[in-house]
Amino acid sequence: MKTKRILVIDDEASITRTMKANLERTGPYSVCAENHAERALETARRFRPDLIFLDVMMPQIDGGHLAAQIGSDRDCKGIPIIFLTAIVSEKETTAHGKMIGGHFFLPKPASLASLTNCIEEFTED
Amino acid sequence: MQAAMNPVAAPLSFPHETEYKLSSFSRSVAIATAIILVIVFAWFDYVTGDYSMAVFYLIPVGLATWYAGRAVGWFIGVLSATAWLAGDLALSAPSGHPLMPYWNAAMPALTYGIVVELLWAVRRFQAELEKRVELRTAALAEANEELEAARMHFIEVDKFESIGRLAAGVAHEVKNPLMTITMATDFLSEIVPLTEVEGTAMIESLREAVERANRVVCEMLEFARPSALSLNLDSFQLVAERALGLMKHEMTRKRIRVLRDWCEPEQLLLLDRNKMQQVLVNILLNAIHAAPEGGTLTIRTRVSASEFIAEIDDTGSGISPEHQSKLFEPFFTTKPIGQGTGLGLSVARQIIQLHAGTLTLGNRPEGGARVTIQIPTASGSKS
Repeated sequence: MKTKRILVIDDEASITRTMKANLERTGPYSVCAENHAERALETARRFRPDLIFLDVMMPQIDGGHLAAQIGSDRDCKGIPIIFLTAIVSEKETTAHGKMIGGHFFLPKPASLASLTNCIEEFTED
Repeated sequence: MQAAMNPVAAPLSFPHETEYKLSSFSRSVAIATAIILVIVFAWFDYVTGDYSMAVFYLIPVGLATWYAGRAVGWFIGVLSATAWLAGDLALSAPSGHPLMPYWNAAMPALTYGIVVELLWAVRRFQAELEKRVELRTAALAEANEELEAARMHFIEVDKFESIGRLAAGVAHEVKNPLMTITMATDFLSEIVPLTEVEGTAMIESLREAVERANRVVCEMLEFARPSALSLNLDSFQLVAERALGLMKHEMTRKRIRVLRDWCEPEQLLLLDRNKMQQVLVNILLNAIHAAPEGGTLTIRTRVSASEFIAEIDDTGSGISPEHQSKLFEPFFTTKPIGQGTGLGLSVARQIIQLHAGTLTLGNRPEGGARVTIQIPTASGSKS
């Protein structure tokens, strides 16, 4: 089975660390954690992920802005981005079909199962 | 027209005699006293001979006018003049002009008439002043009530705004650590073997704690930012049954019996199914919490004119008077710590208001509380 490359961008190191540990233990995933939003685009170009988990609220760059940068980048265009956000509730994301502004959202706290489901849904085997 | 609408600004006007509400008792007593006084003074007048008692008659005239009205005042005045005339005729020697006693009686009669009119004017003026004071007091009380309502509204709005700001901040600051805890819990659950009973129990406790904290934050978010409704023609009954289904476990645990009284035919309403279910779950949770072991919960629907009405009754102890005004205040709860955020009813009311309806809570005469939801029927609602 192909190892899927997952980039996790969140300014909270504890989140990226635990997500990386969980995902790499659970399946054939290679996870790269990035805690600095301003370096995230460069990391994405270098790492070439199959999917990106992206925090919405970060101190340096807003998640939405970063998603637009990644989406318009020649090397990273087309990489599915899943927003992780603390400021919407599960009910709100469900009410909007888990899509807000054309992006898939996962409300925090997300479980490992919801993360792996997303990966399987948005990446090709 | 405007002046008529504003009692305080209305010009001073004398009310008609019939507008005065003199009690029949004080009126009768005044008339009787006045007549007795006239008789007494007439008798004195007669026995004292030439000593005039004309001024004394002003007492019964004044008394009658003040307490029994203008007409009675005039009557007593004429009676007094007549009594005075009778005494004069009985005592006077037949000297002078034959009409002299009549002329002499006409003078006090005229004086009495003037006194009656003057007194009556004062009386009317006093009554008008009393009326004005009464109206001003009522207007002041009304203004005070409006001021209090505005103050409460301001506090509520201020509270909502504060909650909005707080909710976003709290959500970010709490949900991020919860994410870490969730990830760590998932990680531990993979490491700790199922045979490790205590470890597994701790992991479960961690999950429950995260869920509880997350629920509070999510309710705060929903309260601070009620999202727009997704309205569709839907059956309230179906939504209610789904909510009851979700509460089945809690109801079974407390042996609560559910009585259903659905209106016929089944009513289709413009509803946001998920949000209406959220409202009903909140209400049912409160009702279950309030109901005693083995209690009854009744859900009843009916259609009245252009309104759909749903009532949910419980057999608990009802709402205490000191709690009545606080029920919809954010964070007000009567549940033990950890069992309620105090946002459920506030959120429920917001959702019902978004449906252009009302949500009210009250006590039933037979005991227990009643929640009433009123929403426009699909045909009665403005599209």
